[in-house]
Amino acid sequence: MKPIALTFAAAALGAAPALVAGTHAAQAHAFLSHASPAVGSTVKESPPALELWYTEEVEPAFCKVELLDGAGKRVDHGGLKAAPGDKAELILPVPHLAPGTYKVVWHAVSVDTHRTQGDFTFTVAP
Amino acid sequence: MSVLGILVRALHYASAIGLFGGLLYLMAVARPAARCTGMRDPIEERFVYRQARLSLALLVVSGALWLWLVAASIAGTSLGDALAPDVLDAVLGETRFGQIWLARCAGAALLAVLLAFLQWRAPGPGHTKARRVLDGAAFALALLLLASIALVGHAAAAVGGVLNWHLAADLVHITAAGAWLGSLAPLALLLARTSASDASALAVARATVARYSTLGIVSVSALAAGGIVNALYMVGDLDALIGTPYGRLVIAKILLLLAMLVGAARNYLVHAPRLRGDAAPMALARLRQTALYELALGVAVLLVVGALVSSAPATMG
Repeated sequence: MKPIALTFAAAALGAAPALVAGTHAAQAHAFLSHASPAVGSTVKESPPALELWYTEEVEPAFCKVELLDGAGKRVDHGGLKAAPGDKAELILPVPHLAPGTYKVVWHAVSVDTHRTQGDFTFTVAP
Repeated sequence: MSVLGILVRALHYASAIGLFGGLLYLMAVARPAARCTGMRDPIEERFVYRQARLSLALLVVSGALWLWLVAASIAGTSLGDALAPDVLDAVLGETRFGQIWLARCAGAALLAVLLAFLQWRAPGPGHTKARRVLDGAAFALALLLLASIALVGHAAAAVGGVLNWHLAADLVHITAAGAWLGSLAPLALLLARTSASDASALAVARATVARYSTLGIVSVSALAAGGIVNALYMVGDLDALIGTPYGRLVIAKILLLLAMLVGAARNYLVHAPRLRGDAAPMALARLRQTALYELALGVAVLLVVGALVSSAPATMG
């Protein structure tokens, strides 16, 4: 095959993903996308569990999430696990929460081995 | 982002590239060129296998160091504590990085056996069918060892799974880089060993350079296209390109690449056509020098890549 034809073939091969996917720039590194209870929100009842969705798939074995009460004391009992079927979501079981403001402190490891961390608060106010 | 981390990753990329590019060069450039000029075995043959064995050894060493650094990083321990059995157990058994690392280890071990066998059985008369099968298997493993690096990169971490367009572009990009950079050394060797006064050697050089040019054009096009897609995902817009450290590293990579392209273009357009008659000795020297100059720049690119893969892309959450 002539070099010119091969050039176009190779360029098409490499660029095909761009044509299909458009120019939307996806986010990289596992930052917190959204949570339930939502970041900074007030909920009327104690949530059944804390759910955290990330912008990348994470490694549950190396992620840490802690729930602290208003006094900074830890109120969860561990048990962090991946959501079944969604490798970018973590679920932390929580005990019944009394009304008040709570702080979530999370440390995540993406499947590309990069670490991120953050925290946020939410309020339980029946 | 530590200097050690950058060097280890850069070395790992370089060795995977050297491993794959050399074998590709042998199969797609050197052997066909030798055959079409009536030679039995190309003179690059032994060099390429040596390049492959050395690259594989460096791949294993850098791979082990990479695992060590990653284990310390994700477990949050010091380097010393990272070697504890339970830490390594968790990394290897419970993370995607660890699982892929184990699979690549198995691939490297198998390839080591194949390369040793090919070396032991080396100077046979031409190429028997058994040798061709072994060569094919070695090439496939080398390709897998290079391409699988993309599986532990940013592209493969996207929500919704590994099969995404960013990863497809990354695979194309990495493979093209392997094809281009990994074949420069054996090409330089052939040019160094060719005497302009030997007509048949010069004919082989012309055939080799012609085939190499095709490989080069295809690789560079695929590299550029894949790289553009990668940049769209990882940098996203002009502000991020100029305004973030990551973006500026991408600019550095592009500039180095353009410098390499200048050399490649001169080789293709100016020197390669002059591999005849009186102009041949100078053309041979220039071609070889340019190939080495591209190789040196390629090493610089890989150091920039080491820094890029160690840090957060400019498109932040």
